[in-house]
Amino acid sequence: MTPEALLLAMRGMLVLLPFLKKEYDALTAKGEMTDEDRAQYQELLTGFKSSPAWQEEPDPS
Amino acid sequence: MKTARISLLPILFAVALMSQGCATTPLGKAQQTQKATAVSFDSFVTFEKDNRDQLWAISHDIKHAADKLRHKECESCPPNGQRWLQSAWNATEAYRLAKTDGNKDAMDVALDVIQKLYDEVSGYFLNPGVAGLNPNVAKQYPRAKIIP
Repeated sequence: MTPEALLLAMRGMLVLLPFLKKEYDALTAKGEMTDEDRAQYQELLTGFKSSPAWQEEPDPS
Repeated sequence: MKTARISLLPILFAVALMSQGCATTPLGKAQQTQKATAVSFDSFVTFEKDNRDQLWAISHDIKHAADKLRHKECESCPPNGQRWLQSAWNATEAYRLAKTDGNKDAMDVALDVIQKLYDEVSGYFLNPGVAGLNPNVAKQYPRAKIIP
């Protein structure tokens, strides 16, 4: 391999690196919530606060 | 032989990358577990309230289990079930932002608390008397499954 070809290959790697890192991160983050998922989960928890089913009531007589 | 070894390298790398990608990460598992538990807790307290008289006749323990989730430590405090879910969430967020051993331990402890309650709640849904009460109980009161 000539020095020019080596330099070209290294440049190509540098261009591809951000893309490869993004793909790798996406693969290794399998099952993790996105920002939107996390916001939805917080909404779910907030919704419980106003639910009458969560109010403690005396035992039936 | 050398040629074969070199040509195998990219394949081995791809397999390693794919196998890592297929496994749910500790953070992903923790988040999914919490969501499943939250849905189950809400379904359980709703189911218990909607069918209180019939469930009370089957077993008083069912209301008492729901009350454990509903109980507030103080007037302005959230119900215990919601407080435990929020604690687990806070610990998970801390681990998401800084993946240290200490944060992972704290997350695992918080998850253990809600996981035990999830098992208890699931057990009541599986009670023969409760299951016989309404054959469509699973449809009306969804219970998400925890990833094994």
